[in-house]
Amino acid sequence: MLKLIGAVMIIVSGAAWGFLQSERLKKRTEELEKLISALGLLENDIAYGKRDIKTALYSIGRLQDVKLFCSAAENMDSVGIKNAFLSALDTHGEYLSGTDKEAAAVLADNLGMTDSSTQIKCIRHTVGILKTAHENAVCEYEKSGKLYRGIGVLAGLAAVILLF
Amino acid sequence: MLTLAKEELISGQDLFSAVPERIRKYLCGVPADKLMEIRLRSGVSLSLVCTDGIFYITHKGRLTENYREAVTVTGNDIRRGLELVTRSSVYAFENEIKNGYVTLAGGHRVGISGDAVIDEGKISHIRSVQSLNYRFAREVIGAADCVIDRIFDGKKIKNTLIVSPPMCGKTTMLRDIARQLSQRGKKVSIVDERGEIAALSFGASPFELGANCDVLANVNKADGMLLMLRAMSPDVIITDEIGDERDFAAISEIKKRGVSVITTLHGMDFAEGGFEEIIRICGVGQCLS
Repeated sequence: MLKLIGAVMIIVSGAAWGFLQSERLKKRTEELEKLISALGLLENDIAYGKRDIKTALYSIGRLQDVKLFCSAAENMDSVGIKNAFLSALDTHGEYLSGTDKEAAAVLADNLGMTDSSTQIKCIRHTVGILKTAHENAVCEYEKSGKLYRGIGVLAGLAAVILLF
Repeated sequence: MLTLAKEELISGQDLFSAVPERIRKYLCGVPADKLMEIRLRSGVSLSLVCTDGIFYITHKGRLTENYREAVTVTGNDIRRGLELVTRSSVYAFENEIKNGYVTLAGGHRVGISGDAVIDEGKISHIRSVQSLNYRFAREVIGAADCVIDRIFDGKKIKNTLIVSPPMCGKTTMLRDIARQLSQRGKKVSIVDERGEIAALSFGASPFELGANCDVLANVNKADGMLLMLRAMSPDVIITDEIGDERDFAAISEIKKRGVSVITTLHGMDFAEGGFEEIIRICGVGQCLS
């Protein structure tokens, strides 16, 4: 009986690991989608709305459910816009890859602190990089998502066979 | 001698809340009644322009005339200052920055200089900001006591041009003239291109302007004066620092309608001349220098 329970637990653990890996890939695509969409709105706000960056980040963050924007808006008064954005990126960008974060960090360097045409160029440049990253992330999810789930279950089964 | 209390700095007076935190802490012992400007230049000593001269500030917050002992302003201080002045939204202050200043709540002005970007022969932006100059706006009730009787004799308001060098209180005097005329029942229209005279914030001025004063802010002077002439039927229009042909033309037009104008001009002294042409064009009744 104990062997059976142990075997089930190993298979479930393997499957859970596979699902988690697959979920991570899915979450990355979702986070990138949200960030791209929010940056598009921010670009429009800077170009036409001319609201200050705190108001713009906060309202877009709430509208699009982008915690990164809300957090940056909340902390920018005390630590400055750059540090607030970088810190929010670390806290709320857990599924983003290193290159995604690097692209966003370049934006943080200039965010709010240049004239509107430069702001727009910076945002478009970042969005361009993130869109490519999103396409790759979707491909990776389609390719590796199922694979991870299958591997998880199979690895669990293999471990059970080897152990028992 | 008054000094800036620490609480005053921390609670964030309009101007001090826009000074970088690192610099703000050195200002605690500075005589507030004498302070006119705080000058931040990247890589150079922090300097304070007071009523009795230029001083520098040491790491212990003590005033000195020796700049070598002074706190040095860094590029990060300038960036942080710009963040605080523009609320991290330089793009939202493009028009102000290309004119070289941002006006804060309370009418205080922060002058900005750096690397100017020229587009079609005009300054379109200032990037790589090198220095910030925080200038205090102060309300001095009674600043116009010495001239008000020469401007208003109880019946007629004379067209008046006030000539003085920068930092001598032209705007302060203009504000007090507006207050006194408004309190004497004259309809006063202020055209406040740079937001310094009335310093409107959310539609209200922090200064005492009397019960008969209307303000049009952040508009080109010539357009603003003609708009106020049509819209508010004023007895007098008050504006600051006229300078170009459009201003002169607008003043001539206003005079034809029987409305008085009180304005200012940068200059050393009326006696030195150079203003006759302006007085002739505008038809100014008197010039105070």
